[in-house]
Amino acid sequence: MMRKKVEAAPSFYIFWAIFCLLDKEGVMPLFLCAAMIHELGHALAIYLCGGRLDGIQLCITGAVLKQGKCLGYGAECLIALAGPAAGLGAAWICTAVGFPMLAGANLLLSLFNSLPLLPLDGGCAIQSLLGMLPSAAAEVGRKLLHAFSIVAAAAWTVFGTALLAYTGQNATALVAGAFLLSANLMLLRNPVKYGMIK
Amino acid sequence: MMENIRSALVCAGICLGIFLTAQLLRTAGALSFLPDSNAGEAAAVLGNIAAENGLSDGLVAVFSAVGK
Repeated sequence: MMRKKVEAAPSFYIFWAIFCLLDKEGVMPLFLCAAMIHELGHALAIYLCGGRLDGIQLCITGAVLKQGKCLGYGAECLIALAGPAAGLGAAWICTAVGFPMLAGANLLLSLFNSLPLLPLDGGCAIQSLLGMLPSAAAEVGRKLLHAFSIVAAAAWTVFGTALLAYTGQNATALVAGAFLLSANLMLLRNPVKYGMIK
Repeated sequence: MMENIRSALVCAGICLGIFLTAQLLRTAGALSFLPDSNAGEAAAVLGNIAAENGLSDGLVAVFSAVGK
């Protein structure tokens, strides 16, 4: 039996350091808190769907939850969407109790993760739903999703570069685009290693 | 279980160290050549819209602003 473990790859610390170096307002702890709520949402959904959490791997794509057993496509879709749902719930609570910054961080993280791109949760949810289709259609759908994710990530990176060159200040879009692009390139090399659902 | 706690604490410690070092360097002015991230500003704007208009109205306002 695999032992439960928290593993952090060097790429995760590089990813974290880049955001910390660019963080003028010192808001990274807030985003870390929002990310933990997000991952707790996934973990809770795994348990509620009857799954088992074998470990957490932190890498350049963020946190990857390692599941102990395969669940159905519907359950995997729910698990993928549980993270953004937990973030939205936390944002609602933070708004009600008067923590607008934490609410904003949760909203930003949830909206970003809901984008229909791999390896984000929106993309993982679509990939799970594609599994319900006949195998030939599912394969075509997966290829289209992968291609769309790479093209969108590349476009985002170009947009981020142009925005940084134009404003000289806003590096967030470029870093987010580069993160998506590198994650997708890794996904191409090893399709089963990345993405939340194993 | 102890191994999980130990690895989580080590990871949290390294992250905190990186964050504090970055803040120290920024305070000392050593990072003035780097562009700034506006993630905090975006979070503040989103959070304030949600706090003033409610979460659902806040989201509608954000998407309306994007559409214009």
